[in-house]
Amino acid sequence: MERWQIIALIIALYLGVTLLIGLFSGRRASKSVQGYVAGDRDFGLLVMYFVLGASVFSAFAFLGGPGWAYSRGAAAFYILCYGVLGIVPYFFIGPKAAALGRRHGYVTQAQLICGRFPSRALSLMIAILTVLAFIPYITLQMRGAGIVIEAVTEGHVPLWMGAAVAYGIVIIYVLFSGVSAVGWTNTFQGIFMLTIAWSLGLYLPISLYGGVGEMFTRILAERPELLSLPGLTATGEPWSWGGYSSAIIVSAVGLMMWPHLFMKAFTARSDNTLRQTVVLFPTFQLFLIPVFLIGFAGVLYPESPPSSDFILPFMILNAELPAIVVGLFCAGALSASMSTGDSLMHAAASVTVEDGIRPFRALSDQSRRRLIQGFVLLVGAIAFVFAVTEGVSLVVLLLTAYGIICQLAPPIVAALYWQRATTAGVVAGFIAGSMTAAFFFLSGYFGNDLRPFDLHEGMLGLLVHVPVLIVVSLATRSQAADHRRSFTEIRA
Amino acid sequence: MSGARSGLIVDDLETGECMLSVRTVRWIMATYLLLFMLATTWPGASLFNAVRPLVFGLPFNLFFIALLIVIALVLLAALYTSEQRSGD
Repeated sequence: MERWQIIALIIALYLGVTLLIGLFSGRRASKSVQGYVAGDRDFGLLVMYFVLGASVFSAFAFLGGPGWAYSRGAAAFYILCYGVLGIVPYFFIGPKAAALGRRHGYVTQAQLICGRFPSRALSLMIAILTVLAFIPYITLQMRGAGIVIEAVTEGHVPLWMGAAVAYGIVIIYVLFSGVSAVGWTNTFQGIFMLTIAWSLGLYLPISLYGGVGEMFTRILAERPELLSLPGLTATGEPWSWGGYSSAIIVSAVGLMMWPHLFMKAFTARSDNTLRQTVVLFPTFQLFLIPVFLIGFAGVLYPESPPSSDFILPFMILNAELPAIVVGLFCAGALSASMSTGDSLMHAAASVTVEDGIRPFRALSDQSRRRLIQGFVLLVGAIAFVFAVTEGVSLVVLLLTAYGIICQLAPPIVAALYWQRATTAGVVAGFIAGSMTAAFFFLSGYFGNDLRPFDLHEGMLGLLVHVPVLIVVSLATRSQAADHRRSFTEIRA
Repeated sequence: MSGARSGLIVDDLETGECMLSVRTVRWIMATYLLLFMLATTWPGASLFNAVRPLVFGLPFNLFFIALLIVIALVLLAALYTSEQRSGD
């Protein structure tokens, strides 16, 4: 058997095990929307931990992270910084949202926001913007899976086929088992990824340069600009402090506002499970360090991959490892892509139906579940088309998506903590913030960058969003006292 | 179970231990988050932006971020324990 065939066989085995776990995990869940979208609110600590962890270890971190370290150096450190800042507020917000979810039957974030601020237009706006933000994210994950498979099979399995097979499996288990499949496969995939990140992250610097310290000493001598914050831009010029700092802040604000993560508050078995998950979350940030080491190991390597996103499979293939080990490593990289992708597709479809369609049409529980499954297929198909088409810069789109998603933070905080907030204030703030973010994004996209201090457009959006929310709320009549209290004073 | 939530330090009647009240731990956590943000963004981050000395083989700026994350982990564990004890 040829080397690439052994690797392909191991990947096939891995995909088979994932599929089995995905199919089996759904047996216990009820056939209702609550079972399909919120796992009957019965996720334990182990599953919750890896579901959140998978969000950190997406294809972006596993392929993009080393790619950034390799080409942009210390700029990649921003990925480490935002996790802690983003997760801690969830320690308080998560259990509160979960309590409201249990009381009112919420399974999505927009239901929570619109429960406090009744507005079908707001619900629809959130649904549309969320799906717009999700598509590039899912596309990126699919492309990642395709890249890994194409690279390690030496092109025998092309990108489109690799992405189709990996995501065909994801779609089967998401259709069949819903969020339970997402939870249990993420657990399996998470353990896999961590093992691989650590072993490869330490093995490469030691085998190539004699140690981590030796590697950095040499990089400092030959490419010192890579190790100094804020690192470089994609084109190799020094990055600005404004760009680096606002990337951290926008990502921190946006982190838990991604619906596929926020919605997991509704899946946790108890509030303590949620809090424990938050406490353990920063460990995943630490697990990213070896992933960066893989990228840095590529800096001094005499040859270079076709693009910086290929650095991980490139280094794996050039490390002269046995085929079985290479196969396992690639399965780990696939895990990173699939464990985020399944969550994203599931959430995108759930949000479309629950927030975009349900407020306008009365549907039975069963037909909603069917409709969500239909949208999983549709979202998957759209992302697949983008994934196999070259052209659009996906990383640019993803960064923009964060700009949209972080506009969900002020409404959530207002819904849970600020009694004086009104529906008009929240709608006005949301529109103003999103328009501002879109305006500055487009100004940069069409070549005339108007952003002050190179700040992220999402942050500029927030700087407009929050004052508008406050001023309009204060100018309009406050909500009925018992209604607003039932949200702000709920005990977790 | 320690009932008092307002004092800085409360006595645990069952174990006889002295410990920080929930509110104090929350304040410490919030303050730490603020410091974390100041230390990882401009201009704070430029104070710790040195490559040498290498610590555990990592450049100092990378090690420093890792250290901040480890401290956050410890504080989060403390926050969790204190919320549990207060019966919240």
